[in-house]
Amino acid sequence: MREVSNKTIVAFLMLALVLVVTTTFFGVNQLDNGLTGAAIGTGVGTGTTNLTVEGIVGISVTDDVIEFGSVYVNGSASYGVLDSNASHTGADMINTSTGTAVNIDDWHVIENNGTVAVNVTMSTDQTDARSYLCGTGNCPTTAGSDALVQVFATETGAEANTCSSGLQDSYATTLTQQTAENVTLCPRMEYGDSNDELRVYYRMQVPVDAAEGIKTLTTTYTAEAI
Amino acid sequence: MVKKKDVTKDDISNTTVLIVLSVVVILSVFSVGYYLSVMQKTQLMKENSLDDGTGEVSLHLSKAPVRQELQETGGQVALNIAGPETINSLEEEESIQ
Repeated sequence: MREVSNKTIVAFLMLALVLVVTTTFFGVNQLDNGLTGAAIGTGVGTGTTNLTVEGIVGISVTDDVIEFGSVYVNGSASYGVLDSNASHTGADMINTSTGTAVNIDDWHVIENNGTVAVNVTMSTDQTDARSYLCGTGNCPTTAGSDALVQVFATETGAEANTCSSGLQDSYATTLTQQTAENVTLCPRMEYGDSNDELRVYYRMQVPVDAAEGIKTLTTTYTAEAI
Repeated sequence: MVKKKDVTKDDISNTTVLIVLSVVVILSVFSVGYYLSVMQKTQLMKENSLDDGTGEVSLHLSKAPVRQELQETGGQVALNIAGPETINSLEEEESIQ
């Protein structure tokens, strides 16, 4: 068997060393990018120690159901408007049981139960308002041109200043006739016990030729640490 | 008989090579282990920086009741009541005859 010269062995060893150093370098870089919490001592004997405690992100939906009930669109209108906020006006939606205009006051409650401020966005399980509201019938007359789902958020008096910037306090569209959009409800939702709650309301435009049936919209609220 | 190779100043001893090799292997093992643990911690942090919750909005869309428009077409009832004048005129006709 042919002997390997010492120079070749040294070359391989050098290559291996370079690989080890490079791998370690990338590992340390990764650590610097994403990890805090290490105690840093300064001085000798009487040094101070800085410790950054990493927060926990947590969000919960403490009231997760909005129920419009059994309703139908007034036959003389091209679409009806359902609004879960009683102070806003719906239109041309009739409660099947009472025969009167739909008037409910119902909302979702989302709570920041973590220990850091978060950016809160919402999305739904639907691809567009037309397929959600028109259903299998596909709104043969109107083509679902008025189908729409919108959302907005409010603070309550008891939980004022929950959103310290950019609260989405007017209706934003999450489902258009043909598309779905994520909506940022609050770019900075605080986490203190007295200011960590938001209410979320929904508004829908239901075409008059929408197919009958139960229409359930599942919404997802996502919190991301900022 | 094996001929002994001449050792020169440039040659590195086998012992030295073995020691360096051992160091490299140990460093490699530690390096890989360290890298994996950092990746694991970073992944854990990413997972902890997101959370979500779900809600539900529902309605039961029912069919609008059919409007019932009834048009009642009434029949005609003819009534002819003979008044006193008619009776008198008949009596007069009879007396003339």
